[in-house]
Amino acid sequence: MSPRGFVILAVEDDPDDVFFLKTAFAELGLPDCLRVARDGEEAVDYLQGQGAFADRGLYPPPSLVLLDLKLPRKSGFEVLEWRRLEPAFRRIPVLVLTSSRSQADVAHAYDLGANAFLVKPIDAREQVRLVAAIRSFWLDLNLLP
Amino acid sequence: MTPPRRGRHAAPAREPRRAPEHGAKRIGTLYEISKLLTHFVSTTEEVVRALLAIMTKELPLRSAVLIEKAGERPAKIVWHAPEFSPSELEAAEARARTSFDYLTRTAAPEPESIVPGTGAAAPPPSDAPRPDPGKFLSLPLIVQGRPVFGVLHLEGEAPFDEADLAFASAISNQLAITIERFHARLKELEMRRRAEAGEKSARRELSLRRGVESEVRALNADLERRVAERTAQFQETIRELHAFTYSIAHDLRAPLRHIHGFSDLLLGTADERTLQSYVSRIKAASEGMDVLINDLLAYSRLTLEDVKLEPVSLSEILAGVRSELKGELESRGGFLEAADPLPRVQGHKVQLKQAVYNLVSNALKFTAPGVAPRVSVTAEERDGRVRLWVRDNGIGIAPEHQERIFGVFQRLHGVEAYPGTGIGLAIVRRALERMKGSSGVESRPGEGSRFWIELPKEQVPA
Ligand SMILES: Nc1ncnc2c1ncn2[C@@H]1O[C@H](COP(=O)(O)OP(=O)(O)OP(=O)(O)O)[C@@H](O)[C@H]1O
Ligand SMILES: [Mg+2]
Repeated sequence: MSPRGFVILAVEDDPDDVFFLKTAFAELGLPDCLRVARDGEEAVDYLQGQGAFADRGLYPPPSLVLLDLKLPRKSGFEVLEWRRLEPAFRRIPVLVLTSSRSQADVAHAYDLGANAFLVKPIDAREQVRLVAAIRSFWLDLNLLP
Repeated sequence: MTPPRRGRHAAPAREPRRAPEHGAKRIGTLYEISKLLTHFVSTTEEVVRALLAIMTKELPLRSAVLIEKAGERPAKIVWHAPEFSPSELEAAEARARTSFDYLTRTAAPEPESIVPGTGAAAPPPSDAPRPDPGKFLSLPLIVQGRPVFGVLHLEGEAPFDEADLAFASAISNQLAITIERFHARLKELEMRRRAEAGEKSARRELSLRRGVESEVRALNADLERRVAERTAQFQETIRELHAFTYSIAHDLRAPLRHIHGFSDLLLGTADERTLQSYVSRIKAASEGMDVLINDLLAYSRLTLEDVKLEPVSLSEILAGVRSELKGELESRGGFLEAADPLPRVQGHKVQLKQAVYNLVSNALKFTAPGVAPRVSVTAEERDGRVRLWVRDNGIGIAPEHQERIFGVFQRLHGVEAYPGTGIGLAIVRRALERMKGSSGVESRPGEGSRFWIELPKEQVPA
């Protein structure tokens, strides 16, 4: 577990986007709170604590998932579909974080049970604000199961 | 035409002047046209006029002249922009006539003018302004396997580009089929009328009525079948459009965002090394965007371009691919062995080469770290079809992913592990479908992959 007591799992295949997320977390003094899965299959493995993520000390169950939609192997939608049928993970909030603003994507993501739909910011400062907002709303204000 | 090479090692393809959305709109227009032609029951002239009206929305046309001799008497239909002067029109018609003569290679009969007030073509007056030849486009009207029977001659406000040409020839092809079909039907009805005119008994009349009824039924069935066919075709196009907008929303935004993000970070950095790394990431992002755009264009071209199938030597195709991938082969210390000679197939050279290129470049790319790629290409002939196998010693593919990877932008790895955009196999599948072939893969993780494409054997023209 991270010293702060929470971990956020980002499911993101793009190395540059991972870099921006890491930078934002570091800037907010939360460098240990971020874990990364690089495709939909890894996300499922992580949540189930299997495969490369079997060590729960290193990879504790996340309080929150940031999910990209376009991912190798299993798409974000497929991860949402999988989660819907898994009682153990249904309650972990999933925030879609993606490039697309497509209305069809937004509707589909909510239909599949996403808790929020966020568009990746174009500006690096904006990214820091977004992570801060996620943290204060979802982890400080919001009551989690 | 040069093969539309793509990917990091490929020279950038010549890009159409217009943006991709334009292409999407044109697909919509082609759809409109096909709908119109499917329901076409009226005379040629009406159809041609309706078609021109649609076409002028997409192409900056000044005039269009259609000359055809599919029926018993040659016909000419002329359309022009409102401000067209009579002498300009005459010149345009004369050029259309020259193209017609040339393309049909006959001493053309005097066309019957349908448009009142426009006489037979005269040579252009010598004082008429000489328009830029790039602004003319003469498209032959031809139905597969028959001689050219007419010409659609377009004159534009500005020179036409490749995309315009592809668009206009898609239309002229449809038009040719429609006109042909129209005349065939006319002829059939006329023959029937003559045959039946001589017979006057009530029974004959009854059977005549029956004949007409059954003809109407057949006509309807035929129409329904055509509508179903077209609908399927357009559903496919719409699915593709979806994949397109999806990728534009997701993939094309990403590099832009990265460029912006790293520029922001640049501004707050003094450290030389960090600065360097940001700049190189910006460069990589903009290059990535370029590759993506080229890939998208290459893929969209597959949907819009008509393919003419002809005998192609797979040995030649492979030799071309080998020379294009020479650098890649050398730098990876790999080798590519191929059966020689490989059979000849019925296909489209450019698209076939693109497909084989994509398969071989994948075979070279997806190997475990430190493993030199070994690729072997063989062929198999069965029942008039040729199957080309591309085997590799790569990482292999799990069964549950084997279908997915043929979709647009479907990848199994991050770009860090293996670079690429995920369109290569989508192009393979699409190209093979267009060539009346098929494609697939057999593989198991860790045991290499065997990709295949299948095409009809070459058909030697009689
Ligand atoms: N020979 C192969 N061995 C193992 N995996 C393969 C092979 N060919 C393709 N794949 C898998 O299928 C995916 C899709 O292949 P595709 O050629 O469409 O895209 P790409 O090679 O990733 O990118 P692009 O060809 O557009 O540059 C690849 O990302 C890879 O995961
Ligand atoms: Mg590829």
